[in-house]
Amino acid sequence: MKKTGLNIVLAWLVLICPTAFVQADDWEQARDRLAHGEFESAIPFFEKHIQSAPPSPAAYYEFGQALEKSGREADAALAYRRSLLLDPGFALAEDSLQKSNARLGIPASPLRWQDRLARIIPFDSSVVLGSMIFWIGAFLMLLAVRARKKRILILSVAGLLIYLGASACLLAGLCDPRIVGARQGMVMNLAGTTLYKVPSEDSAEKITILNQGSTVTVLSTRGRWLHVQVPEGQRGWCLQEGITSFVPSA
Amino acid sequence: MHRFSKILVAVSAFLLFGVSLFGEEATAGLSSPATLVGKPVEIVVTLRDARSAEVPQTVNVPGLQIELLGRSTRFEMNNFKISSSLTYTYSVLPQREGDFDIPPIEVRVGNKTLRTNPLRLSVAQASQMQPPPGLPGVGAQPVPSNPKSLANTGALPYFGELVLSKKKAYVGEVIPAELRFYFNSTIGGEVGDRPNLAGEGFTMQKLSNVPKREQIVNGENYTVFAFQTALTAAKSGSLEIPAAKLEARLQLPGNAPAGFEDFFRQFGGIAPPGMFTNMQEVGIETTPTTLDISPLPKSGRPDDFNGAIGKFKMDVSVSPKKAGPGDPVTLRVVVSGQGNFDAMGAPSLVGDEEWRSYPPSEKFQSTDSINFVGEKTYEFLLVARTDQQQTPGVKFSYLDPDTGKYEILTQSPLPVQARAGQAPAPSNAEEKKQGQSAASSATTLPTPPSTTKAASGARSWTSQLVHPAFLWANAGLGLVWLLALAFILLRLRADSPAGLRRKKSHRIKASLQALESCPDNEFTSRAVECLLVAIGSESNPLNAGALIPALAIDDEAKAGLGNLLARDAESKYSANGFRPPDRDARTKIVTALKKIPV
Repeated sequence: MKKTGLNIVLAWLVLICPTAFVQADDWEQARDRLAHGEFESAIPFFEKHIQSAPPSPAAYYEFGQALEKSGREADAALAYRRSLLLDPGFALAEDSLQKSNARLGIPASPLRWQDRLARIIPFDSSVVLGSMIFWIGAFLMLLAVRARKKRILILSVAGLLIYLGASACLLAGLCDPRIVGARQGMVMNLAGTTLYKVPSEDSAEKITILNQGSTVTVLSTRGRWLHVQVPEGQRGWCLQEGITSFVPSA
Repeated sequence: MHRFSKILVAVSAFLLFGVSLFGEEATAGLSSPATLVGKPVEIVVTLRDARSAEVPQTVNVPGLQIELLGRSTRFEMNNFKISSSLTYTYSVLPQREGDFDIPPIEVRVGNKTLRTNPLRLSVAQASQMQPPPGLPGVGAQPVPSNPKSLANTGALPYFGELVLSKKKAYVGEVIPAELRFYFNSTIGGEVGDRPNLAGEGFTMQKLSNVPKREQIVNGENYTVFAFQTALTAAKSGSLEIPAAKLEARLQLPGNAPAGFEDFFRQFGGIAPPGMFTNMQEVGIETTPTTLDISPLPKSGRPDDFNGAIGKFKMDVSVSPKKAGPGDPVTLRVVVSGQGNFDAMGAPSLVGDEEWRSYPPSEKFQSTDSINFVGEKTYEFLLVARTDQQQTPGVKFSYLDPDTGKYEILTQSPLPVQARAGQAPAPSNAEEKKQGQSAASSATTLPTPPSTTKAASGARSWTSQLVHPAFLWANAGLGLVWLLALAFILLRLRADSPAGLRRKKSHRIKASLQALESCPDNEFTSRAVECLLVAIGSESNPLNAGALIPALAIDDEAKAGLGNLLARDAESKYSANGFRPPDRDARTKIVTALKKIPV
């Protein structure tokens, strides 16, 4: 038994630890290069780190900085957006995104109530806490069924807890940028992408051209075509080439 | 401004900036600045206003055999002013190829010692003769662009020429050129400061004066004013180089005043040449020429090609050889040769991933006046990221315009011992020196978030709400909740009066079934147990007798049940032994028990 435990520990040391060191090394290398103004050489290290390590808003923010300083404005804007998906209250990333958008000629989008809430509520924690409260309320309700005394009081408390817990989870579902942003994407083509009325490259059906850096919400897909909605509310079809999802694909 | 004033100012400026064509000096000139091995050229040493002088018989230059050939004296009369010039001619026989610097020749005139200007002669093998940069081809006699013969001798008084090192070049390639303006030694005057040359499609280096020299052209002695420059074509195709114009004010031969010819004719002769001259302002122009400019070849172009065109070699050194933690080492790359030093980029480092490097400083030292020949030094400041035993390698690519092929100079990594560490912050002076220093950019960076900040925020792209683990946990909790609910409901159902009745009925049925098949000696006790369950008196068996009369059953059944209780008492307390009930009695008892309502 002791031997098995030792083997597990050794396996962890051999397999997990080097990975962690490599991740840390890439991260340190990238930050070091960024701090010394070696922006272009920092980018591959950021990319390696981002691919191998759990996502972090700081990594994406600094990756965006390196991209921005290397002249890759749209890529930088996407990195800032991803940083904000992970941490909507990250003021540095918000500021940098606004500047990047200004340079790309993308108008600032109005702040929605979901965005305001996202900045102040830690959704992952609220979901776990809300779930716990919900189930406490639910089991309390079972207790109330069996209770002979103060059944109404117990039922009221249970109902309140269930309501609070469910609300917390529902709010996360409505506001968590990772859920909302999962259907959003950014136009990365330098020349932008064309929005059509129908899924056809017919110039007569052209609505407008979305500039590089524009964001769209994907409503549905049909082959190579995406049915999208722009922040102004207009809907149309565009080719999925050149549209990059906010949430990186696995 | 009054016209007279304008003329006065112009003349004054001309005099101020002009260069005196003639002065009391000893000048020397080569009949040709380049030649072949075994093909002699001449050095002409000219002394003005001197009747006699002492010159060396030979001039000692290894590789050249220089011997005095002879002397000649020339008298000139310009506007009744008689001047003389003494000319010594040396023969120069090249014995081997190379570039030779001929030192100044010392000439003693009376008590004075004059020194001629130094000369440079390029000698090549006959088979591989190429014009040196900015100089004409061997034996190329200049062709006057605007010949105007001197009145009586047929010699040209002045002319200009543009000498290019090549007629075919690449875009961005530096083409050395020399503008030459020849003035016959028999005329005097003043020349402007420098010629004008302007055109489209090319850039030009600042004109550089070449020391005035004497040169023999078609047997005539000329004073040559030359200006060196370098042209760089900005686009491919046919490039027109327009004429360059040099202003001069010359004393050119003129006609004798009316009556003078007759005066001389009376004496059976003609007016001596040069006796009558006119001061004229002239513009001496070179001949326009055309260059064939090709675009840079695309095939074989290295990825790191930085625009260098020419012929180069590279030397690399590193210092110090040992560096402490974080101490920088300097990788010095010297690119020397001839080419477009002003436009070319720095060499690239190879395998420098483990080094922190900055854009190199650049220093160019030219060995000519047109920045065509020289050496450019790049200094890379390197700081090891991890402990290093060797420097990065160096690679430099350039286009050889003669072959039209790209060449790559490489330098293997040099041994060095450098310890890893943080780079020192470059000083302001260093930043300025390094131009667009990366370190200066780094100072404009927003401060990166701290590690604490990096750890905050979500660590996954999947929201906790839709995370599989979260969903499975909630599903498990939901199942437990449902099971608990079911249990509670079942318990509630079981504890209800109907439930209790069902339970009682089940027990009675089970007891009756067991009663029918039990042995005779156990029948009475089991039948009593069944009775007690049926009348709900399990906790108080003694009370059973009192309850029987109240049961809603017929009297026969009540009698049967009373008989049962009596038999039970008898079996428990009788000393005479127990008599089991016969079959009829068992049937009656069971029938009576079945009649009891649940």
